[in-house]
Amino acid sequence: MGWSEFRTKVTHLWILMRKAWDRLFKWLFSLLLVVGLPSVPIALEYVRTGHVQQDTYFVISIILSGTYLCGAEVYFYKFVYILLLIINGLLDVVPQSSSTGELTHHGGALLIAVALLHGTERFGWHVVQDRPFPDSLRNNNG
Amino acid sequence: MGSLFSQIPLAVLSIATIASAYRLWESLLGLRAKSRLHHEIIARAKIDDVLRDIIERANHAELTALEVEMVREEIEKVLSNLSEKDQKLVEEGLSQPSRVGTKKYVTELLTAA
Repeated sequence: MGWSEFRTKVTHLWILMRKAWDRLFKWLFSLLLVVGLPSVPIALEYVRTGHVQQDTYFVISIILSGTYLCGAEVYFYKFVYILLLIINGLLDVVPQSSSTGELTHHGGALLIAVALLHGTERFGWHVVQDRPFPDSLRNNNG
Repeated sequence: MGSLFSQIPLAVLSIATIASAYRLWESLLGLRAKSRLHHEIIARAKIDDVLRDIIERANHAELTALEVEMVREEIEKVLSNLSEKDQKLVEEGLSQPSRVGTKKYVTELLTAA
């Protein structure tokens, strides 16, 4: 392999890496804003009181799954978001002292489910399809 | 019955985890399909002057909407060389609702996928 061929390959590799790097950070940035930021109340509650009430998880999960439902493009995802919306809504009103009270201890797991679904959905959008973020920029010609 | 109900949140978490893993896998296959199509386009550009000209322009300037459409037509010709699965994944990228995304996707197919 000659010097110029080697240099071309290294340049090509660098371009590929840099492009993937940018897209990966675009994805992480989007996650930070659409998953991390709405979850800030959980951190605040933990800092303030030393623990997080299950209600907080349920309410944030309801808000997030409702919001993501509007942007979901695959019917399976829409179905799961609706399922999460209903389950979180129901669990939020179940008294912890009732016979089904043990159900209300899974708020964190349900929030993780919502975040996982949306995170992987956005991976396809930003890393593979190279869609811009914020999503409102998608029809700009620039 | 009570213990069965208590499994509902964990069952939903399991469904979400499996769906997420599948989606992630599909995304990685999408990246591979993109890379394969890029190589097919480069191979075709050796015998197609129009495509070679567009690739040259894409390397130095932003493509116009008309050029993006031209590239899409050229890609349709090359797509048949890929497997059905790869074709489907590339179609998803080409027919995405984001116009900016489509333009970037097409430009990347020409320059370096």
